[in-house]
Amino acid sequence: MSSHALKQFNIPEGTRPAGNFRAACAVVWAELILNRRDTNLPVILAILAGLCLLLTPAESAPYAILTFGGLKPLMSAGTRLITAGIVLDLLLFPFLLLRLGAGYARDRQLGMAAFVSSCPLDRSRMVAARILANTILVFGFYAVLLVLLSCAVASREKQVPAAWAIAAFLLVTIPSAFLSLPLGAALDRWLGGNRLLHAAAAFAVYLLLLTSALFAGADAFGLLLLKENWPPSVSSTSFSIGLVSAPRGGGISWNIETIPRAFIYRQGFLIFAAILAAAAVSWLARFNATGKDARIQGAEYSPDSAPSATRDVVRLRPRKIAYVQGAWAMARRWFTRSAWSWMAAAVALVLSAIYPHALRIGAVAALLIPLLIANRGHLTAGGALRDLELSSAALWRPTPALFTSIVLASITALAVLPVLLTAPIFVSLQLLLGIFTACLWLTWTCAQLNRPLLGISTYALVWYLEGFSDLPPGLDLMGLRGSNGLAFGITAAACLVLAIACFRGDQVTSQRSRSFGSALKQFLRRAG
Amino acid sequence: MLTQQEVSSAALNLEGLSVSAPDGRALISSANMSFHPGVTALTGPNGCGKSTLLRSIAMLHPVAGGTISLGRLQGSRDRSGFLSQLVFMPQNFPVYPTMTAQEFLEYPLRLRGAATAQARAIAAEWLQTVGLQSAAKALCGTYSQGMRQRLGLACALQLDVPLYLLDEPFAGVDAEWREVMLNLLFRLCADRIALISTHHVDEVLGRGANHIQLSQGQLVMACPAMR
Repeated sequence: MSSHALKQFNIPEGTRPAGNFRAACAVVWAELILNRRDTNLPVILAILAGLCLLLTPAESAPYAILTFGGLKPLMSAGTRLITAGIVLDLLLFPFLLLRLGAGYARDRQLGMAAFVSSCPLDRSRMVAARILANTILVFGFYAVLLVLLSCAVASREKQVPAAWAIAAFLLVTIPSAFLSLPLGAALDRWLGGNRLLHAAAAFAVYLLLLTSALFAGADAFGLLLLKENWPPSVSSTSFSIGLVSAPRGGGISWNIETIPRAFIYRQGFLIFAAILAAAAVSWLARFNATGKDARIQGAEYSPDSAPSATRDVVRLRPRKIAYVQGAWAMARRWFTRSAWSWMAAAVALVLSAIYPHALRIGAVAALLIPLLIANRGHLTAGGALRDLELSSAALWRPTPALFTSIVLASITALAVLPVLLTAPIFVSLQLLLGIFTACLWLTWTCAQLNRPLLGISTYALVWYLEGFSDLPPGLDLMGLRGSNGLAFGITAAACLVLAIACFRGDQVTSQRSRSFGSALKQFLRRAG
Repeated sequence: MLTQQEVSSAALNLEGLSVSAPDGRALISSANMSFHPGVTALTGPNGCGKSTLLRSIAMLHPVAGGTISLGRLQGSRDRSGFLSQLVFMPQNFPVYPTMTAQEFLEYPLRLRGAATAQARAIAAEWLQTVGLQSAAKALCGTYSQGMRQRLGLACALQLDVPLYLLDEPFAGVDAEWREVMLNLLFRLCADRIALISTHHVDEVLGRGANHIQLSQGQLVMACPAMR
């Protein structure tokens, strides 16, 4: 806009439309502020500090983060740092993939989508700016991790990792973190509206990268570095990585002696590929740009004319309703126009009736019901909608969140009723407890924490592990492979903790401070 | 539960009420006020605590001190009993986006004991009353702000309770429907307590509402109704 035009319309000089560069900088700035003020930041840092200690086990520890053919390697400070970096990569990749999106799902959830869409910066630049902001965050995140890990290694080995080891750590971790940025942005951009699909796609991408790293040589996690430095004394080609149980003491001496040139090229290529992918995602973000937002704006209706005189109206004098009546009203709301939920319930009931002795088949189908209900957004009642629920007396049984969980668990249990009736009592009890715990988890994360993606992705992962993997009996929380005392204990404890969290969340929902900072201020004020 | 006689005569009493904002800032300090049947307009500048006061009365925001009672019911002692006697309409009325307007109005009716046919009939009639019958089968997520507000008012007024807490109920409603809704509100709440937060004082005072102003942490009776 020309200076003349600015004067003509009385627009002050300082408020002229920002150029694309300035606008993109503003987006980066806003994203950094939003993430810096995330109230979960202190908790995440505390968890990371614990994780860093866990990933640098003492030689006498009953577990290791790496074993070659079942043998525990004894490592130098530098090698410990690099190995911990590889494990961290493997653990954090799905978290980064789900957490660092392009802000689309978040904007929709906060009701900011229309506002953001109306900003003059085009979508490609918006996504590019957000990926750039995430890149800065990832750098900061890994810098903190490096410091924490170095401290943990130094405390164990009484020796600070060498500079080459730090460089190798960065070479191992940064490419995969970079790769998660465009992938996360793409998932958020095109699947952000459907949390279940979003979580499933994220896990699929993770599994694909993991498989290709192990078998196809396209390694995003630095696993090939281990193969290139294979200990000569170990004849077996198998290795385990993660938190692996290993006998105390003993083991073989092993160190990463060289960083092969091929490894450096590979990691450099990955960074280059990530940058290319980020550019491609940013460019593609401009397509189908109006899809989601246009739906929010809605249809046009022929306006009804206002009545000239006030008509007589019928009103309801509220009365107390039975527990079942309230549950029925809530369940009706969930199942209205929800074909997938109906289908899951029908399939679970039919499978349970046909195979009453096959616990896993019916339960796996039934456990999809709460997942689909949550994925439809029925449990996610953000802000004012949650106020409406909290001010409904019929839902205070004992609190709205617990009532929701009980109704959700009852529907799921009804779908596997034939199985529950034929299974041994202890097994049925564990399955019931597991179903209730799962429903509590969904309600707590979706309704109270307002973190539906966290709730749904975790639930989907546990559902997959329970249904389709060979979990050890002690970790089979639902008891789908028979009852187990340890698993029952863990499930009961989780159920109790979540029930208390749901109960307290409703009781003191607004007594909690909105942020960590204000909580600290209140605490200091009281202490002072 | 209050008896039918108590419903039309119960007063909302705030005794020594103190309310703080979520960041700890004091909004209302030791306020004493009694609200009797009729419409009361709560006014004050942005951020003075109008919505927070309404949320506190609806037990959605903690009170730092004092008590809130409706007749013989005290919220802190019997939350469920207290909540069953009030309707709260939040600011920028929220909706379940995947429900139709008809279903949305039926839901609170069912939660308060209406049979299926009764809920359907009352909801349909109220959709007509607020002029949304042509959009009754449309999903609430497609409604405009003004339509949502009208739906919210229908949602609140279709229930016959002693206490209505309405937070900016007419925001975004066009002038013609604003007039209709105001008339409806004043007619239906003549013998009920209706606390509404608003910035349009004139249109409610002209109809004989009480006027309470939130000023420097105190509730000040600015203009008692000429009734």
